[in-house]
Amino acid sequence: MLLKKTTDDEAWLERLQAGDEAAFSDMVRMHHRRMLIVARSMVGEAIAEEVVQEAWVSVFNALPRFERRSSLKTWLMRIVVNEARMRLRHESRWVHFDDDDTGGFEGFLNRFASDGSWQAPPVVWTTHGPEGTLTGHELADCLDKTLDQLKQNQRMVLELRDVDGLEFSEICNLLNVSESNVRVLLHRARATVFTMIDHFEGTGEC
Amino acid sequence: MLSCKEVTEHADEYLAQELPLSRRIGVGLHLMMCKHCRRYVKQLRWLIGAFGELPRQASDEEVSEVMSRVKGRKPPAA
Ligand SMILES: [Zn+2]
Repeated sequence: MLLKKTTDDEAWLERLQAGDEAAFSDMVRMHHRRMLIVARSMVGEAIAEEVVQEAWVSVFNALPRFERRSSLKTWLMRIVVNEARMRLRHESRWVHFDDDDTGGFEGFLNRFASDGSWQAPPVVWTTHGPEGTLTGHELADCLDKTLDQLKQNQRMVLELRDVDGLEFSEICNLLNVSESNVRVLLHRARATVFTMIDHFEGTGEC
Repeated sequence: MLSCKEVTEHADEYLAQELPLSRRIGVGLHLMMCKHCRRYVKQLRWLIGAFGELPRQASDEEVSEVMSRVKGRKPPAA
């Protein structure tokens, strides 16, 4: 069983940088899916897989030079973002941080009356226990499904901040966008997911 | 007095303890009086924690695909 803290383990990092294959496998197992999600947000489903594979080759080659000034996680994300950017240069696409494009967030805004009070207040959430564990629960499936329905740029920011735990400054740096943009996207992403989970808790339907 | 909608707009930063003091007090006062917003903030906190617990481990197939790709590109030993 892999634990998150493995990535902070000094001895593990030493082995990783010394070219230990098992340590490299651990790293792939821990980060591959996250990298795929970020790549998908940037270049789309069709070539995301290829972008991430190329990123892993870059990681392999650059690993001896990783200086640990950032966390390994951030460093990996930077490599996958750069790899995706190189593709986008050829395809002239880039993540859009369009402020008007709220994508699903209206559902949350519609919960309020014109005076800003709740007209559809949150329901009591009962399917999760006080210990708040997600494992083996259909709520986890609903959460996954909900995340898949988010707008790609909202999804990416939510993955980087809430799932990966990157700092705002790291995200801004990575995506080359302002902190206020990141905060707006994150708020919309969270509120959109909130609305869908609240619906699930109220109706049992995801 | 902040409206409920405004409280939800500040909720992310409230939970992260990043609000300036005056705003933090404003949100706190509203929460003392409004059970709907209390519920929202509580559920939002739980949800943010839940994101961090989402399983994101790659499968054995995915790992071995990457490993063979990487090893295939290994530069010849000097
Ligand atoms: Zn309220």
